[in-house]
Amino acid sequence: MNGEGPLERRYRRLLAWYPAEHRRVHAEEMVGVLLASARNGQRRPSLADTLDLIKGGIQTRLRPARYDGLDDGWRDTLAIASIATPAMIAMLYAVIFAWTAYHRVSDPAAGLPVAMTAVLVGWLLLIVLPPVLALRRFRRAAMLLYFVPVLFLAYAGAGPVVSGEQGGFFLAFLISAVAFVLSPGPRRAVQIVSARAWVVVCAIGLSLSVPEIILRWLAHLPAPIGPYRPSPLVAVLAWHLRLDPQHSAWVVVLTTALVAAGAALGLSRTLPSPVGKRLLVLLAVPAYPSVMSLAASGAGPGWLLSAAVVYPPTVLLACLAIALVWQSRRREHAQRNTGQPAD
Amino acid sequence: MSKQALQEPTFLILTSLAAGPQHGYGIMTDVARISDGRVKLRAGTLYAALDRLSGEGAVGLDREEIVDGRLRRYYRLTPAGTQVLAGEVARMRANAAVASRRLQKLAAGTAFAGGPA
Repeated sequence: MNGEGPLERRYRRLLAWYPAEHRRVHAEEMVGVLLASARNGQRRPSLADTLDLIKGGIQTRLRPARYDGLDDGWRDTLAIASIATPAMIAMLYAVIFAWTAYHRVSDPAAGLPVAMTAVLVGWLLLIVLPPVLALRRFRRAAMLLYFVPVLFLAYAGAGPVVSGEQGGFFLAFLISAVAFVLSPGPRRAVQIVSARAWVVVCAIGLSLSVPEIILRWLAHLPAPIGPYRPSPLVAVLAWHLRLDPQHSAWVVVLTTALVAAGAALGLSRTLPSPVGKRLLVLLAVPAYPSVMSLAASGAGPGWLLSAAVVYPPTVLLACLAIALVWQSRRREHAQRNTGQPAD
Repeated sequence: MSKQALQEPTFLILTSLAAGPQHGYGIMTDVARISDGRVKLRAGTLYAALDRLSGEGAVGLDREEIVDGRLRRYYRLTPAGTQVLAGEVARMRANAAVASRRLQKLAAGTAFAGGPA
């Protein structure tokens, strides 16, 4: 399948006659039906189709909205997860890469190794490419690429994959790949997600790098590299944290808690009511092992990361997410078919 | 669901779904076939009707599929929709029976009046 053609663009423009809620539910399938009905080589909507769409749009706008029976449940959440998760990881990678590059470049002895740059740029491309391909309608290629980082991390993990920071990334990539398979993917997401919500998603991605940056900053304090000079108060505070690794671990946990609270507030305010909360449940699955691992690495050998601390809560969160998706789909299906809620 | 007579496109959509779950384009082609090409549903009319029927509980979502990167939704007749269609069929059958009896009487009267003196 190629990208969006002129006929499809024109049909989409005509769908602007419909209310946003109707477009959210029906736009994709309507465009599919309109394109299936079009003649070979047709470039413009016929007059009859144009008038019919305008009439349908006006009729729908004049009718009281009733979409209770067509709530998309988790499908919209998964569609958003298929693009928001890679976007957040890409932001996180980009910030850490920029931070590393800044310090390496400003240290003439270190420089910026070509291999490291190539690996980081390669990862960034691998994260960004699948949603971009999906947006351009190369769905099969996108699906294959979504699973490449999953398989790579599973292979590189050598043993139980849900361990530590890599385990968190593995779960994040796995969630975005599965979300893509189970939903219409990024194309639906860009219809649902407002500009404000995108800002929140990007802000979360940037904020996720804060705990890691704090740890790196603390690690650099005894011999600061580059032009950075902390104020005396910050230097004293940071030195105190540096002296006690347990404290740096708690700084990571507390910073992450703040980021999580901000994410919860931002997503619940900018995404439709159930979607924001559901997205948070999904994001919590990879976030938990990542945070625990980061906290442990900050604390050093004094705070060993126990498998008992990582595995049960991660598995519990994953089971909760799966159970919620399954229950929601079952209830939705029962309501649509019988008009009665499932017990 | 109101007790008013169904509009023909609505009746034909429900009739199409009575054969089993169908996606939008399938309903359009089936309606053209049922009406022998007389009724050609267009996407705007179809989705306005499906939206209304979903809101009234006559039609429900059966399943969704992704075909060639495009969302395809299959709709099905709900028990409420089946009742609506059955009611409409009964109403049309009753009306047709009355019309048929009167036509028979009319034909008989015409034959009697127009016969040899």
